[in-house]
Amino acid sequence: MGNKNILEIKKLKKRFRDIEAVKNVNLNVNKGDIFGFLGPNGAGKSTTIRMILGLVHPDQGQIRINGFDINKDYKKALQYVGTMVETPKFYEYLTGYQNLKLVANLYKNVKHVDINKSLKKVGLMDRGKSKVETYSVGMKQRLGLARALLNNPELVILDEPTSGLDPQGKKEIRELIQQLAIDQEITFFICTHLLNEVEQICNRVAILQDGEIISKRFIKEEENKKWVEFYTSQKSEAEIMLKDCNSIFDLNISKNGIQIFTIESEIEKINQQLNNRGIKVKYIIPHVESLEDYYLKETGGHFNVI
Amino acid sequence: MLFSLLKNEMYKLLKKKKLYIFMVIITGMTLIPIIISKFDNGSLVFKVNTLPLENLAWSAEMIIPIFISILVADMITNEYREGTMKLSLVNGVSRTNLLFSKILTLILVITGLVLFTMAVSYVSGSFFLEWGVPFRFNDLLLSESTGISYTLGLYLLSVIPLTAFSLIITFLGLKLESGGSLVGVTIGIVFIMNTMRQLSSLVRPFIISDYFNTGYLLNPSGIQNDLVILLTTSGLYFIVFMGLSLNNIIKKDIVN
Ligand SMILES: Nc1ncnc2c1ncn2[C@@H]1O[C@H](COP(=O)(O)OP(=O)(O)OP(=O)(O)O)[C@@H](O)[C@H]1O
Ligand SMILES: [Mg+2]
Repeated sequence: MGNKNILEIKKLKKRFRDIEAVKNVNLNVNKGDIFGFLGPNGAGKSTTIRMILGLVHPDQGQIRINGFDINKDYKKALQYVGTMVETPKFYEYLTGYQNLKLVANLYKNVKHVDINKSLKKVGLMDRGKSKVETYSVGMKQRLGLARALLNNPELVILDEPTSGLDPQGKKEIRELIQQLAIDQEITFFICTHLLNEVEQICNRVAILQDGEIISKRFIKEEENKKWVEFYTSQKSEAEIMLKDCNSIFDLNISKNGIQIFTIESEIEKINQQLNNRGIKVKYIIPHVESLEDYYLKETGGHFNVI
Repeated sequence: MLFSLLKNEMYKLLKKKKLYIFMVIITGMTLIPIIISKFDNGSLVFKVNTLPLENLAWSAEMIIPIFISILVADMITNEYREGTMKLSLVNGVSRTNLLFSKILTLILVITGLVLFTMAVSYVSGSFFLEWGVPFRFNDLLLSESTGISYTLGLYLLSVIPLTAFSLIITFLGLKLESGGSLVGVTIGIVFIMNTMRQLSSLVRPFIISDYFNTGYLLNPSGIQNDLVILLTTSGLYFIVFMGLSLNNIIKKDIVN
C-alpha cells in the first residue's frame, strides 16, 4: 500500500484496573491520510489517543510517529504533532492569544505572527484578546484547533473536533481540515462519532469496538477504485491468494466472501485469477452501501448516528 | 526548555491575583507590631533593626507555607484535574522537566516572598519606628550594617527548609485530587508539626517547620552546628520527596 507510515501502532494494550480499555490495536496511518477513528462510547478511542501522545502508558505494544518510538524518543516523536484531546482545556483566566503564547514559548520557531495566523485560520482573530472564560463551547473548540496547528504539525490528532459546534461551525471545521490536508499536506487522525463527518472527509477508517479494531477500510472511491465483494465459500484461500496482489488496496473477509478495494479495470482479472486457482466465485457485487450501513453491520447496530 | 517552562509558570502566576493578595497580607501583617509599638504604651517596643527578624517568624512559619500549598494546588493538583497539565506534555515537554520547572517556580516564589517580607519590614519600620542602634537580637549585639547583612542571610537561609517543605507539598499535590483538600491538608500538617515541635524535644530536629524561622541561628554560641543540622534535615526531605514526586509523575497515567 506504498505510502510512508506517519503513525504505526502495533499490538497496543491498556487495562485500567478491571477494565480492558484497549485490547489489541494495530493501525497504520499513511502520510496524507485523513484517517477516521470511529467507535461507540467507551470503545477506547480516547485511551488510544492518550497512548499515542505518551499521556497514558500502554501495558504492551509499540507506537511510532514519523518512525520515532513514543517511549524512547518522546520529544522527537511529538515534534510535528498537533493535538486536541477531548474537549480542549485552557487557562480560562488568560486570553485566547495568551493561551497560544504559552505553547509558542515551547518552540523556538513559533512566533507572534504564527499565533495570529493560527487564530485567523479558525476565525478567532477578533476574539483573541478576550479571556477564554468568556468563550462559547464552539469558540473553545476552534481555539483548540488553532493550538493544534500552532507548531506547523505534519500530523494532527483530533478527538471529536466538531463537538459543541453548530451545523455551520461543523461544516467550517470540516472544510478547514480538508483544506489543510491539501494545502499544507497535513495528515489527520480524527476520532469521532459522527459517521457523516467521516464519510465526507476521511479517506480511510478504522472501527474500534470494546477496545479492538473490528474493521478497517478505504472509503473514498478515489480515482477509479471501488469496493467489490466476491461471493465465495473459499474465503481463506481467496484471502491468501489476494493478500499480496499489487492492485488490491484493502481487503476484508465478509459474511459471504471477500471484500476488496481495487481499481475498476482489475476486477475481471482478479476474478480470472481466482477461477484459475480453483476458487469458485458465485457473484461479484459492487459496493454501494453507505458508511452508515457498513458501520451498523460491523458493530452490530449499536451506534448513535447523529 | 526548562527556562521557557519557568517563564510560562511565572507568566501564569503573575496573571492571577493570588500572589498579590499574599503580598497585601504580608504588608498588613508587618503593620501589626508597628501599631502595637505606637499605640499600646508599656508593652513591647519594636525597633527597625530587629523588626524583620521578628516578622520572619510568622511569614516563614505561617504565611509562606500556606501560600506554598495554594501555589502547588494551582500548578499541580488543579492543572492535572482541569486537564491543562497535559498541554505542555503533548508539546514534547518531558515530565521530569515539567516537574523541575514547577519546583523552580516554587523556589523563586518562596525567595521572592521572603525578601518581600524583609523589604516591607524595613520600609514600614523605618517610617514609624526608631532604628534602635545597636542591633540586638537573642542576646547578640551587632553593628547596624552587620545586623542588616545577617538579617538578609537568615532570610535567604529560610528559603532552604521552606523549599524542602514545598517538596512534601508537591508530592501531596500529585497524590490528592483537589486543590482545596491540598490546602486543607497542608494547614493540618503545619499545625501538627508545630504541636509536635513544642511537645517533644526528641522529635523536634526531624520536623522541618522547626527550621523555617532561621532567627534562632543568631545566638552568641555560634551558628555552625545548627546550620549543618538545618542543611542536613532540609536536604534529606528535599531528596526523599523529590524522588517520590518524580516517581509519581513519571508513572502516572494522565487521564484528565
Ligand atoms: N482513567 C480511567 N480509569 C478507569 N477506566 C477508564 C479510564 N479511562 C477510560 N477508562 C475506561 O476505558 C474504556 C475506554 O474509554 P475511552 O475514554 O478510551 O473511550 P472512548 O472511545 O473515547 O469513548 P467516548 O466516545 O465516550 O469518548 C471505558 O470503558 C472507560 O470507562
Ligand atoms: Mg473519548
